[in-house]
Amino acid sequence: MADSLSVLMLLGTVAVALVAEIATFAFARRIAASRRIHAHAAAAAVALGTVIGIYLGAFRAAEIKFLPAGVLMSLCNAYVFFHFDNMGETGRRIRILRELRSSATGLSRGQILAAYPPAEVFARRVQRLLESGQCREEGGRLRLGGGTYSIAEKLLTLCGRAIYASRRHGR
Amino acid sequence: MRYFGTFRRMTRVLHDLANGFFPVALAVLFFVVAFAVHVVLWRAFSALPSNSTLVALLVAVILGECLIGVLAVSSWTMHLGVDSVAVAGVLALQLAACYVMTYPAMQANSPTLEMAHQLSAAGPGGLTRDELYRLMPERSLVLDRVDDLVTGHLAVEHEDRLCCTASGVALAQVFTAWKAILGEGKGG
Repeated sequence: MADSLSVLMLLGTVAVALVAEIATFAFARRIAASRRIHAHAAAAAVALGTVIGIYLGAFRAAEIKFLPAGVLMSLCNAYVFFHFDNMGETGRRIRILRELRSSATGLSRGQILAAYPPAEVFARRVQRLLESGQCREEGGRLRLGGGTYSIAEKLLTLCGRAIYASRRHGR
Repeated sequence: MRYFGTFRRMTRVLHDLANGFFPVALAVLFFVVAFAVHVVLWRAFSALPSNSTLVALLVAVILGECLIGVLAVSSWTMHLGVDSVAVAGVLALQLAACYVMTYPAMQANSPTLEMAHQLSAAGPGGLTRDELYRLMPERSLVLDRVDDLVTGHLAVEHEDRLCCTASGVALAQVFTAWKAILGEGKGG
């Protein structure tokens, strides 16, 4: 088979898998009301199954060379899509942009704080930590439950230090 | 005889699958080199470059590596073909996209992860909501992100009022449409 056709078939398969993933996630959230993380897991599984299914079912065995690349591309797409969706759900900059766009004349910093106060940022995140089981609230006190976010925080801090060296930025 | 034919086909399939890991390995190499260039430059700059600079840098380095790869396979007798270099390039760009999506969490402090860190440090006794809120640097929750939008050319400030740039409008529209598809309200 022509080399360029193999590459196009790979890209086409991954594109189909991405569309299937997005559709599955939207269905799971809007129709099935699944939890966000479960919807992403189901969507990623559909994407992987689509890539593997197309390669094993539709392509002849001779074209199977790019299946490993297709699987990894699909996993990358799932990761990027997760972060894209997370930006819309938790991204402060996205929220601020949406507030700015809703005003025809722009907003002052005070108006931005009125529309999106720091207390709301805090309350939403406490709620997410509680709903995801990362922390629990007993007797008016919050305690860390699972360790995933704590581990993620340590990993990101280490990576940030490796990249930014001695300069403090943000963290 | 039939089983021998099946065995030969399976062997060829497994051989093709094994060959399929070469472009994956090449993609990882492309990305690692681009990431190394990024780290060296980020440590050298006195001011932190914008996210768009990061994207441009990673894309430029990976495309340059692809060009070198194509010239190499064209000049030398190699196990890889141009198609494998092309696939490796696309996959490396996707690995770079994964990194770019993770980058904001390193560049800007994540309140959720900071809260998890504070609760972890508090131990079994935990914290009340007020105690935890007082440990959060309030400016970093919203106003520092406003500054990021201006630095990243997604918003512009004029006479103490902020407006979206064209890029900011486009980004806001994408997420407004996405949240509408999901039937969800404003996030944050």
